Formats: sequence, structure tokens, C-alpha cells
Amino acid sequence: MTIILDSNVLIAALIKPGIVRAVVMGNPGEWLVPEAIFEEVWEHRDVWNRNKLPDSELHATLDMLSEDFVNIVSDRVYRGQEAAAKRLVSDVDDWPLAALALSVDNEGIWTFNERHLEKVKKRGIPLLRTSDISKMLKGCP
Amino acid sequence: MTDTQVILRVDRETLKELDRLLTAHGFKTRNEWFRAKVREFIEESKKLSMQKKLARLDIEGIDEQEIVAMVHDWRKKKKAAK
Repeated sequence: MTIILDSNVLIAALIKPGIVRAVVMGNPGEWLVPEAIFEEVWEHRDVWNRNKLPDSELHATLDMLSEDFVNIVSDRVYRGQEAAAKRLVSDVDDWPLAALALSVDNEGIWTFNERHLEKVKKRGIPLLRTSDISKMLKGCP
Repeated sequence: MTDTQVILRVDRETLKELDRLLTAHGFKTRNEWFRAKVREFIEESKKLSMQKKLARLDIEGIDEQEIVAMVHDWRKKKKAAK
């Protein structure tokens, strides 16, 4: 099973104790994150790193996450779909998500914000809520 | 990958019991069981270690829509700055 994580889900796995983190940890290797989204989350670490951990510690945490749990996909894999993807998203910063979904086999995009990816859904790429993921994967409460 | 031989010591009765249970749990050989257990242990250890690191980032009480708003805000600011 291969599921693409939206930036909001990735951040939830990082900062919110609960089901999202448990599901991501409990199913290592099932998740794809476009490189551009991973970098965007890193660039804005001052916003979500409310506990003010030093960069060295954050770096080590994200390294471990990307080595053992989440696959970061190079933009070379999805760049070819950039133009098509930009036509499908309401926020242009979401294009890497749509482009990755158009480039690789996947079961859908896990997001908390379906509205901004409506056209992606119309292209046949499922938008998954946390409740959908719970039904699909093992070890979910 | 090169295999390395591992020699373990265990009393005869325990080994007998292990062999009986292995097949009952679907393992064909002791080796197959041992490999599966090693993999499982490594996976669980990594998970535990990751959870400890992530716990340092915890924000209690934050909900999914606050996270959506967080991303929306930084993107809005970025676009406004252009």
C-alpha cells in the first residue's frame, strides 16, 4: 500500500500525539512525501516547533522519520507532471502532491483539507481522511 | 547479503517446546522464526526511539484544523511577501 501525505498530515505526525502519528509509525514505508513538501515543512519549522528544540535535534528527528518511516520522493520523479498538477490544485503550493499522485502508483492522498484538492479527486485520485486510513491499515484503533 | 551463523544455548526442554510452537505458528524452521523475531525487534526498537524523539515536539490539544490553518497562514504570508 502506498499513500501520499499532505503537509498537514506530516505536521500532525510530528507535533500531535494521537492516531495520525500512531498510524504512520505503525506502518513504516507505506508513506510518500514529495521532496518539495518535506522542504516546505522544514523551512517553516519555527511555526510548528513551538517547544523550541534546536535545529540539530529537529534535523536528527526528521532524518530518522525519513529513513525508517516515510519515503521522501525526489522532485525528479514528479516534475514531469508539474503543468498538469498545477491545473488540479487551488493552492499552487500543493502542486507537488498532485504531481506525485499522477506519477506513481498510489492509493490516494491523506489530507485534512479535501476542499483544496477537489479537482485531484475528480481525476480519480482518492482523497483519504484519517478514518479511511484507519479502515485500510493494520494496527489502527 | 552474507549470512552470519549465530550459535545460541537453550535447555533441551525449552527447545522441544519451541519447535512444537514454531510449527503451530506457521514457521517452517528455527531460522525462519529467529529472522522474523530479529526483524520485529529492530522495527519495534526504531518505533520506540522515533516516538521518544517525536514526544519532544508534542503540542497538547492542537487539532487537525489548526494545523491546516497553520500551513494556510505561512503560505499566505509567503505569497504576500512576493
